[in-house]
Amino acid sequence: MSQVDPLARYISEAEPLHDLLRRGLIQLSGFLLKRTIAGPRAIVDYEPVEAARERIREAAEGVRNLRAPTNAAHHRGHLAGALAALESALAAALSTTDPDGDALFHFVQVSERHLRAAGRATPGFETVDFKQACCAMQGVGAPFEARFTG
Amino acid sequence: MGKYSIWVLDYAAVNQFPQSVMLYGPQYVGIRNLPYAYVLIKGQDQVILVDTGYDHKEYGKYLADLYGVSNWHAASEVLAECGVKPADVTTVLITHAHFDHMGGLDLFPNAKFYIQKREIDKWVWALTLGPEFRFLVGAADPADIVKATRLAREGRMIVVDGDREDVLPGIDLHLAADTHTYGSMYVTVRNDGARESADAFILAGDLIYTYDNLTGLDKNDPQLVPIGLATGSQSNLMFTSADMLKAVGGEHKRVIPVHEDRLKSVFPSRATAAGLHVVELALADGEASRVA
Repeated sequence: MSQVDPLARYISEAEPLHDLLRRGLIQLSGFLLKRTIAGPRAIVDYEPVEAARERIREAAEGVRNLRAPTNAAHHRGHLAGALAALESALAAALSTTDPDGDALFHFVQVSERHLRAAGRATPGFETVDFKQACCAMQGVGAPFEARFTG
Repeated sequence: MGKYSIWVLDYAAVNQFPQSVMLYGPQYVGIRNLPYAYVLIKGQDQVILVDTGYDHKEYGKYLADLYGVSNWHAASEVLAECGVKPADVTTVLITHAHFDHMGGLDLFPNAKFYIQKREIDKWVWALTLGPEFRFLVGAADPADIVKATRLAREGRMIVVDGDREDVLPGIDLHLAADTHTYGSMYVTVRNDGARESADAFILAGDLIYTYDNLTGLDKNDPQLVPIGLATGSQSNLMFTSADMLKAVGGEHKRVIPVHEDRLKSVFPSRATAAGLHVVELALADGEASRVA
């Protein structure tokens, strides 16, 4: 009987969660883009926010239940960080106290950094182009195995 | 001599692009070389780009690899062929939101960007759809939406709702709704500045891929043939082609398909050391040729 490699299992379970988070991020960013270009007094369609809420809800349970082997803990930390930031971004999008979208933009950027770091950590997880990957200064450019076992 | 110098600058290519995508209808008819290019317009104290190209990293590289793109070169290198640096660019006119046209939003730090409101609205909407609809956003890099958001917050992303005359002197923007994409745009440069210009060029984005879209393949029986890749309709593409042709008095060569490999033989051009091409459509008063 074959035994599934814990890292391989982790990757197969994490990939769809990464995709859900990526889509949630894009949808919230799209909402913010439309709101920004429409101006402060315009009525903006909340459909992207509703879509993002669904993606984040779908991802949340999976990320929280995701069992990471030791060599994938760093990657999982970025997924959890992205999720937390997206949940804050969602709250900001629905809030009446963030009229200029400053909080929403902040959390979008935080989530972006986490997803970029996660995307760089595993082949096949490529995602959006982030400006400030936290791991970029911590050797994330190293090969996949080295990163997961380092 | 006109008000603006205009160059089409290759920055990459797909060497084996299916002709059936370039011309709707005929299947199994072979492949063509498809340059990736943007247009540089210089004059009137402006340095203008029509489209940005893309940055060959992250998801942009992923998409490029998927489409078989080769010989990519950075904007800094490509623009240098005309003595321009990315920081010199003042205005970028985005024809549509596909990665090879919009994927370099962060490469031009001093530019303002213009795009059709419909392109943004419908792109964001399409991104809310399920993965079964991914064809609708297939050639778009999700990263670009985040970049566009940054630019919008900095006041550097300007949305245009429909046609706009004289966005810059002698340069007009035209919405071509529901064609190649939801909010594609083409650009007219009236290089004599006249309203009824006798020296106009139309920068068509991906509304046509080749001159054959304007003429068909049978010289004895010309027809409009739409491109084979659209989220809108082939009818809209054909009527847009007719509009563009009418605006240049039926002179086909003035409707510029940036993906047309034959541009380099229609206009004066030269090959660069990198195997790319500089195609010179027009020279402004006092501007030195970049292909001589």
